[in-house]
Amino acid sequence: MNYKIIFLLILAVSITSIILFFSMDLYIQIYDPDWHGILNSNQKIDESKKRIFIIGGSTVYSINAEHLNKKLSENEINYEVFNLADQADNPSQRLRSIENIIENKPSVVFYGLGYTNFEKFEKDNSNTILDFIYNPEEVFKNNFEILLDESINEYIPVSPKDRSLVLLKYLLRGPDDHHHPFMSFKEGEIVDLAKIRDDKETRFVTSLETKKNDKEVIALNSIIKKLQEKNIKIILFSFPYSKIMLENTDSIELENFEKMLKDKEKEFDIPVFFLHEKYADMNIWKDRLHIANNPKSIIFTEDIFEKIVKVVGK
Amino acid sequence: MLFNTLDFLIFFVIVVGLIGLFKFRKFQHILIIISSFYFIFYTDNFFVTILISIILLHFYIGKEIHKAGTVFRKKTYFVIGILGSLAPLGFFKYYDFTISQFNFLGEIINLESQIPLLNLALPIGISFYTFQSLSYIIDIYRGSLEPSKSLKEYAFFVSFFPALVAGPILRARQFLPQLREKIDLTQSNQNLKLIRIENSNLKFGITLISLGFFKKLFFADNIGVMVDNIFANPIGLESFSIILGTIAFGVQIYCDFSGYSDIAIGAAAILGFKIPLNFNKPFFATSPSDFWTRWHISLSTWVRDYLYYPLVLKNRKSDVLIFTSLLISMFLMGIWHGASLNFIIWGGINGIFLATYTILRKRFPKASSNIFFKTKIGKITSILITQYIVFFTFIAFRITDYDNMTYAMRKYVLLDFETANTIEIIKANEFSILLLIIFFVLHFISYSKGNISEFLSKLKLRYWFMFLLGIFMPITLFYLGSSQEFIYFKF
Repeated sequence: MNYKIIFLLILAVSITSIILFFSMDLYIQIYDPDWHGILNSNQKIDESKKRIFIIGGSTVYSINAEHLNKKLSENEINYEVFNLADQADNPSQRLRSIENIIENKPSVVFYGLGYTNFEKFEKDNSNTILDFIYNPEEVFKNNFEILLDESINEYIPVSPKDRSLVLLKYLLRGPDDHHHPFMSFKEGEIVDLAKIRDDKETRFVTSLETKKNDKEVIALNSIIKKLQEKNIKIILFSFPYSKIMLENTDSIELENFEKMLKDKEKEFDIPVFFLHEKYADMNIWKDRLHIANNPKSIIFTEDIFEKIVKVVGK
Repeated sequence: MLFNTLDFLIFFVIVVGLIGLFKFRKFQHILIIISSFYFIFYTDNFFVTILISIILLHFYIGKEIHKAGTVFRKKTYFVIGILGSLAPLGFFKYYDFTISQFNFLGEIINLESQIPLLNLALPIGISFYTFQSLSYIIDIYRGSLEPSKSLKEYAFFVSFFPALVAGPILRARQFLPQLREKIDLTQSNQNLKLIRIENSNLKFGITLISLGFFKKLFFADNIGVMVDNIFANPIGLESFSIILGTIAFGVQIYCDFSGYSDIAIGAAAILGFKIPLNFNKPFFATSPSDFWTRWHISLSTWVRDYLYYPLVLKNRKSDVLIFTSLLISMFLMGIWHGASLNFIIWGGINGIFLATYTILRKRFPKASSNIFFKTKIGKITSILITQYIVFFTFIAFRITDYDNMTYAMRKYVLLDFETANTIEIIKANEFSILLLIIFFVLHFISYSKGNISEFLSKLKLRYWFMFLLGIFMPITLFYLGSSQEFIYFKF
């Protein structure tokens, strides 16, 4: 066997992996509302308006920034909202891009958090020798792939293809929607809650990591501190869940999540408001975790507008 | 175990590592046989017993056919062998389909009771290893092959894991001599050879495996997203949208299946075995019959050698016989893919095109040798007409619902010349469209340059390394994020 060939193969795989991770980092550094890409680089935006950034995962993406900006203009409030929601966001993920957010000088940051951001994933290691004999594929997946997925997901939380395409699009022509740069803001249909319930296996949330020494809580503290150091107002809110999710969540853990956010309110003297149960029964959902981006679901955006007005005033 | 999963990569590295480390021929052969059984067992559990039963049955039946003293005995053993291997295939693949047809007929004549369906899972690779072992006993029956003397050798041939679950379908005549120790350049003895991992094979194998992954993960899976969008609900779509979806599906299935074949051929090459090509630039075929010498070659030649030739053997001059034989052959090729109406229609349409072309060529022999078809324009015209027909047949392969299928076929043939929705589809799938263009450019380059994989594997190490980087980059950066099943795993 020629070890040069094997070495080169391993080297090629390693270099590719490093470039992949690097490109993922590059992606999260593009927090620049002036960005219009190489092809549209001559375009400018209004610098006179103060900026409000909404950050969080895909669950806050249905907050319609265009609608908010229209209402802000109508009410003569000199702010511009950017919805920087990104797929699979959580505090530790967001911490990696917080410097880029600060560099873009927002006046206010609304951070949408959910209890699923603090979920503890427990591996099922209870396989017996008989399981291994009768169902080796399942045992392999339980013990090896989940472990691998978790460590890879730290860097690549969603499909590499999606990330690479967004990055390419940014580099070339900027985002499709200037106020929703990271997720394509296309209108989607509302799906009946009963259908959503039938469509997928039930997802149970039984254990959260919300103590002060837990990883995501530490990351959240760092984010708040870094923003406050730069005099950027931060407002935390719990993002909405459908009743399908809430019914399958341990109520004690839900209380722990609420308590953790209230603790942040006291600890950092910041406003916190809760929306996680507010729309649970309404037929405004795309799936069990996401409100549909649809005119009939505008209530979520309207509520955020009210909070913005409260924070920035007229 | 899918080739495009971590499970397979770990499995393959362990097998190759052990073969490379322990250079004892008995150990190596037993290791590959056990690994191959485990390969099936890993996903399919005790369905592996079907494979073992077919190996045992055909090994002993093959011997009996060979030494049978009378024609009657020979025929009896042959029929037992054929039925013994077709029975599990028929039961697992066609039982539910047949029963549902009976139930449908029962409904028409108002029968109140229905025969219950068994909802059987199809054992992985059964269509492939059944055909592989059938060719073995047919060749022995015809007297063109000596039966294998050792069960180990025969088990190795049928269960060889790179080609086990989705082909290419191996022939004993080509594969068994490779297993035996060479005496000189042309002859070999009955001893099984020592498996050596040679540098040239290793480099060639890695090159082919990389190209296979490139075709599957970069092209097939990403183009498949657009195909799924278009064919999720084709009714109401414009002609050009249907044509776009059909071309995209043709490219998807080619990259998916030929990618799989490349990985299989590459894995076998690393272990020192040569598996024949399964695809040879099919989108440059100049006639329906040319297409079938380029697409899924191992199956089409199997059907030709073991079904079509025997059917037309008695009277090659009869147009009716040629027509019906081709129709039967292609119909069976369709049903080999699966027990459903769409595959029957797919086989039937292919049969009609192929038979019509063959008869026309026979009736007008001067037309095909016309000087026009030798010019560049003539060749391009032949390619375009052939591909228009080929892509038309793909509609039946992709769309299982009868109403959707007939709608799509109608729109494909009777163009409505509307473009508004097609432009929307193109805008929403820019990346897939770009991949289609890149694919056809690369396909053209590989057509005009000959054997690209051979060429790449002979590059100097530093250039070969650049090639690997160039292949791995798009694979990882544009990986969908989850392993998509190979289409031919279902068959």
